[in-house]
Amino acid sequence: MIQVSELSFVTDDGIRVLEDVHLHVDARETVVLVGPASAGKTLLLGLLGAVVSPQRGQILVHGRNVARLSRERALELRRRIGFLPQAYTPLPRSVFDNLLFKLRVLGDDRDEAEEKALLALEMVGLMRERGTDAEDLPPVERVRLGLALALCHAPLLLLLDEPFDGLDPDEQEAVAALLAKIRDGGRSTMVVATRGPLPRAAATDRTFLLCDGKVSPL
Amino acid sequence: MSAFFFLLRELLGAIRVRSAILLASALLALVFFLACFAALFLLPEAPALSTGGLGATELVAYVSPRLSPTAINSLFLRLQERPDVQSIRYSLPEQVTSDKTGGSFVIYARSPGSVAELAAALRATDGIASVQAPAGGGGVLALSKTWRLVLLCGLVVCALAALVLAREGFRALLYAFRHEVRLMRLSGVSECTLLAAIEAMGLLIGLLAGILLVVGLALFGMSLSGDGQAGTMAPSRLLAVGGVSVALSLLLGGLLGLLGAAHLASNRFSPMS
Repeated sequence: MIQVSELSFVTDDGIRVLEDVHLHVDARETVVLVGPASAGKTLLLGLLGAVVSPQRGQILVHGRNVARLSRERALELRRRIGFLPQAYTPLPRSVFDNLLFKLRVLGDDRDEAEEKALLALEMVGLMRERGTDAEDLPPVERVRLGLALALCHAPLLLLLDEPFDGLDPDEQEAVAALLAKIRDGGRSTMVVATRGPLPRAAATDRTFLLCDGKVSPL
Repeated sequence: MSAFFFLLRELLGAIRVRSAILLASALLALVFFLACFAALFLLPEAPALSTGGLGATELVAYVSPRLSPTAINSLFLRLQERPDVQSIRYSLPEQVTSDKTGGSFVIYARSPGSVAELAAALRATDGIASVQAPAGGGGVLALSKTWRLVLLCGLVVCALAALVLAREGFRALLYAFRHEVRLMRLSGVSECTLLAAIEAMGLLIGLLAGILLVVGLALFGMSLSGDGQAGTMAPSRLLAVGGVSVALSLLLGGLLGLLGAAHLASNRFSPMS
């Protein structure tokens, strides 16, 4: 599913963020990357999601070498990935319209988009809030909406950047339980990046530490 | 295709006060640009008076050398009383370059449309040897060289103003739409979809300016025919200039759209920001 080998990345300022990273994630596996702030977790997710172009090394996602993908192929790959960005900001419209916007610009017609949006809202438990202005949602509901957005087009790979960030312990447990539910659904491979510690309800197959540019199993 | 129309509608819905004012101002500048362009191509150049040419409402009637001063004075008064004469002045024989003349009347008609009729009436008047009227029998709206220069400057200024205003308008619009752009890029939406929607907005501005100009030209043409000057602006000429103006407005609208789309290169719209 994901095969990363000899991956290195140096910023424009000359800071070596990733150095000789090796990582293998199987299909339908849930992997957690734990690391301190500025360790390069977001960058690694960006590289896996074909949002950032790799400089050195190889990244295979769904058997495709991300470094060698044409622009169109990279977009095609991105359409099969669900991405929850760090400190996700919803669009200034209703919860339901947030999902509709993404699905419509991806080419779904209205009926199809509404059906998928309702399914995603059902999955994350936001059905009752579908008419609420997304900017008025509390942090935990925002994370749920972000997850619904990442899930709504049935992606093969989910990349979640700091889903527990800014939440109190109870809310973190609720999000971890939701992630476990998605994992048990068993359709997507999931890579979660977090500063840690992980909530008790977090269900993972493997956990890795990303520190000083290296990835090592925990 | 549905994604394109959906996105275009969303973009139009994202227009706020600032972007609306800027884009409307760009549209106005574009209309002025097209008006200058149309005026330059529709209105003929006025003949320069220094080369012996006449203004649009000016006629020169040469008096017969056989007329006595009393008869000239009587003729002057008769012409002055005509309703289609605005003003009249007499030049003595020695001020007139033509030989065998008893002087001349320089007459200004009330409107360009009445010049032809006035010229005919003068030719039929006893004591008038000959009449010099503007080229084409009079009634032609014309532009002096100074006005042509002013219109040319207006053309350049309006084009630049439209470009600058549209650039700022699109900047404000896309800033309001930045979260959507980031989400689209993160979700793998083709860049062409977004570019096409912005380009379409530019073309819409151009089309709107073109339509406004055509309506303006039609009203102008109607006002000329109502003023008895239908012959001065042939409908085919108006149609041709209108068509070229619409094509030009679409071209400029496309350019405005490209300027707007250029903002997307900013880091502000990066999916990882």
